[in-house]
This record gives sequence, structure tokens and C-alpha cells, in this order.
Amino acid sequence: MENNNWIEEDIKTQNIIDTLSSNKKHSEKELLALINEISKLFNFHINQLRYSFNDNKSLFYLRFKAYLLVIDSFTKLCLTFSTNKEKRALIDNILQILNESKSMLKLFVPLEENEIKILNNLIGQQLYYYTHINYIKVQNKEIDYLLEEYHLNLEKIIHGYELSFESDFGNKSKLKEIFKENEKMIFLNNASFLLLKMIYKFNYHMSEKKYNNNPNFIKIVNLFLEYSKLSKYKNIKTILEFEKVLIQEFENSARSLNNSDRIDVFDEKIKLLKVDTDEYKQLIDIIIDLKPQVI
Amino acid sequence: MKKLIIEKIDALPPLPKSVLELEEFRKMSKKEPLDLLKIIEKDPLIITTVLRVANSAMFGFVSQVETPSRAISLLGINFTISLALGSVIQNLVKSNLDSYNVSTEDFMFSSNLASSLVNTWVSKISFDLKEDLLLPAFLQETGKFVISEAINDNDQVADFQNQLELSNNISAVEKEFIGFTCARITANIFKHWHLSHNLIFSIGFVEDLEHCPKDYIKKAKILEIIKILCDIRNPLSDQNIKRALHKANEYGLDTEPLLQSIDSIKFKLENAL
Repeated sequence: MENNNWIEEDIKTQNIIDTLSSNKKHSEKELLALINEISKLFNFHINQLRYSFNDNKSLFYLRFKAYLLVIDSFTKLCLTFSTNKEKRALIDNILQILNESKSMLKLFVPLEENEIKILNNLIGQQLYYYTHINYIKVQNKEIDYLLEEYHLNLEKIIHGYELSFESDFGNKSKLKEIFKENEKMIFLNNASFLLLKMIYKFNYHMSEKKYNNNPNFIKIVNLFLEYSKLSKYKNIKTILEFEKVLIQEFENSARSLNNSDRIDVFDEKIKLLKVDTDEYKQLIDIIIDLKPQVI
Repeated sequence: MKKLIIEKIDALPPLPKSVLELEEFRKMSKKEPLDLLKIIEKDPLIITTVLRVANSAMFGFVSQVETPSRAISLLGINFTISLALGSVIQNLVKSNLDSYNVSTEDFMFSSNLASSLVNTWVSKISFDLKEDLLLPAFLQETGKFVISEAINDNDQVADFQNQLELSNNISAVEKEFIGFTCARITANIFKHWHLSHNLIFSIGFVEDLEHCPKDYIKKAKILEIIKILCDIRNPLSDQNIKRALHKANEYGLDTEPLLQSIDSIKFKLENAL
């Protein structure tokens, strides 16, 4: 009976992933139903983890690994949606379900420190790996609200990086410094990219005068500079000066990441921008220019 | 007695605006974290609860979670909404249910059981219906706090408890002593708080289908079945399951999915013990 439940859930997982990865266009109702199915799937995992924790510890450890694998599958699915205009709106919904399931698991099961660190690292990475992908609509929103929205997204990236850092990036206490440095570069690259997107989106939709001296914009600048490696630029007065810092930070971190084992960060970001070419045409050109030329 | 109940409802403090806003926010298909933050920031009780929970050891956040925005980022939007709504309900249930001879923990258990039934059973009937009934099912017994207090004020606790022992039907006993069912009182409390029509009508016409507007009949029928199963004194007892299945049959609802949901919830509860 128990095994049948697992097989059934595995088939469901496969079906959800297949349906969402297909090229078929889904109605809003169909997508909502799929999101509901994902939510139910994670509830199933949480319940199984709860029961096995009390009854059978070795089974619990196996199920915990299975749970992490399912999280990983859905996280990878989200990555494939990042360059798909229709499906990228689902990323936030799916990541929220993953995040919530981790909170529920911590609430219901007295996990060991090691497991909490693994979960917290996943929560953190989800925030600093994916927040910059969010598409923020400008239409029908006041500039104050928009700036607060970007500030909150920047905070999310920072909260995520700090949480992963404090969790030893998933309890990998013996990690080499180079790994930790790479994670910091991913954080800075995504944070600077988010704010560059903000400036170019605003440039496309409104005049600079509208937000140059806005206290919420100044809050964003100050928050970013607290974490930036470019500490010499502390007295930024204009949007242009801030943009220069962001480009510099973006370029430095992207070059550093390209020197390690990662995929080409410049190309990765250009692909993301090309989903909305009109708004980001200028930024796409800038990043193409920053990209090191292969001789 | 009716007058006393009306006075008690009128004397209830207004429901914080944040609850209405949270409920509206919960229903949105696209939930902006900034909007949730703006709702939470207006209510010190909610902020305190969310931060207290986020800083508890079970979540293992090394740095202090000092701002609601950090709590939302780390705990997730839906989890934060549940915490926020829970904190208000907790505040609401400060009074007791002594007249029913049950504790507030029993009340919370029944309310959570009702949510589980909506999630497992009603979602099989329709996704929209599930969304519409989650909150009414969770809150439909709120009126019991007012009833309990009124019974106590009238020195009828012993008689009320004796009658509850003799009868399987709490609603019938409530009506005998108070003149109204709990459903009607809960609906009036929510009317006093200017809550949504969906909430007031779905709950208010449970066990009164004769006067129920057409659009709410199915909801009232489902809530009645959930009410029977989540009986605050005997949740999921064999007798109540039998009554609920009989009612489902009478209302033309497929009993098979209902039975499956009951079995699945019972299995989980037994294994959790």
C-alpha cells in the first residue's frame, strides 16, 4: 500500500514536470490546477517525512534525500522557465511552494542541525539565484511603489546569500575558499543585474527626474553599497554614477565566475534580457560589449 | 437569551482591518510580497507573532530575523499568511469553551481538521469550491465562544453539558438553549465584522437550506457535512462519520471521495500519534 503511494506520487511528479515542460499552451486555470498539484505533492512528502521520522529513522533519511531530489527537479524546471515569457510567471509560485514546504517540515519535524543547514542553504540559494529573474511590471504603478518593490527584491537576494553563508552553504564546512568566493560573486552578479534591469526599465518607461532624488532610490543605492566590493564609491549622487558602479560590479563578478567552472554569465544574462528586448535593448548592448572577446 | 447573544456580538471588538486585507491577498493568484509586507507592517500583533515564530530555534536562522520583510523572504508568503491569520484567531479565542467541556486546543484541532477535509475532499469536487470554502470551514465554529460565554452568564453550564451528553447533535442543543444555531451566530459575528458575503452566507445557512440563496446551497451542504465530521466534542467519531455519509447521500454528493478523504485523514492521525 505504502509503496503504491510512492509509485503513484512519482508518476504524478513525472506527469507534472512533463506537462509543464511541454510546448503546449496552458490556460490560466490549467496552470493554477498544476500549481495546486505541486502543492499537494509537497504536502505528501512532508507527511511521509513526519511519519517516518517517528517510526523508522533510516527510512526518514532516505525520504529526506528523495525530498531534496524532488526540490532539485522543480528548481531545475524553474530555470528552464526563466527564458520563456509565458511560463516565467510560474517560477515565483513554484519557488514559494518549495520554500513553504521547507518551513512546514521544520515546523513539524525536530530536524538535526545538519538537515536544517541543508534546508536553509536551499532557501537561501533559491533567493539569491532566482530573485533577479522576476519580471516586475511598471504599468499602473507609482514610482514609490516600484522602488519599494526593487528594494524588497534586493533585500531578498541579500537575505538569501546571508542565510546560505550562515548555513555553511549546506553544512559544507570544509569548503574551499574559492567555492565561497564564487557564491559571493553569484550574489553580487545577480544583485547588480537586478538593479541594472531596474535602471534600464525605468529609462525606457520614464524620465530620470522622476526618481533621481527619491528617498526609496537612495535606500536602494545605500543598501547595495553596503555589500559591494567597490568600496571606493561611497558618495554616489546621481543615477549615472550608480549605474557605473553596477556595471563595474557586474563585469567583475561575471569575469570571476567565467574563470571558474560556470557557464558564460554574460550569455546567460543576455538570454534573460532578450525575453524583453524592447525594454532592455540598451542593456543587452552594454553586456555584449562587456563580454570578453575570444581571439 | 437571544438578547444576550445579540449584545455579546455587538460588544465584540472590531476585527482588525489587516485580517480582511490578508484574506483578500490570500485569494490573489499573483501575490506580491510587497503587498503582504504593507499589510503586516500595519499590525503590531501580527509583526510580533511572525518575528517570534521566525526566531524560534526550529527554523535554525542563525542571524536574528528582525524585520517582517526578512521573515517573508525566509518563511515564504503562504506560511507567513497562515502565521498572521493564526495570530489574530489566537487573540480572538482568548475566551474559553468551558460550557462545551472542551479546550481551545480541541477547537483548533477541529478547525484544522475542517481545513484538511476541504483540502482533501472538496478539492476533488472542484478547485474553485475548495478555494471558496477553506476559510468558512476553518472559521464556522467561531460562534461557539459567544455561546459558551452566554450559557455561562446564564448559569446553565451543567444543564447544557448534560444535554450535550444525551444528544449526538450539538446544533440541536445550541438551538434549544440559545434559540439560534452556532452557524447563525457565527454568520452574525462575521456580519458585525463586515466580512465577505461568501463567508457570511456560506456559514449562515448551514442547517437552514430552506432559506438559503440558490448560489450558496452547495456550499452550505458541504459545510454541514464538514461540521458533522469536525464535531468539537467527537471529531471523526464512528457515529458522526455515519451521519456525515448519510447526509452526503441525502444531498446527492458522491460519498466515495468523502470516505476516501476520511480514511486518509484518519490514517494520518493514527500514524502521527
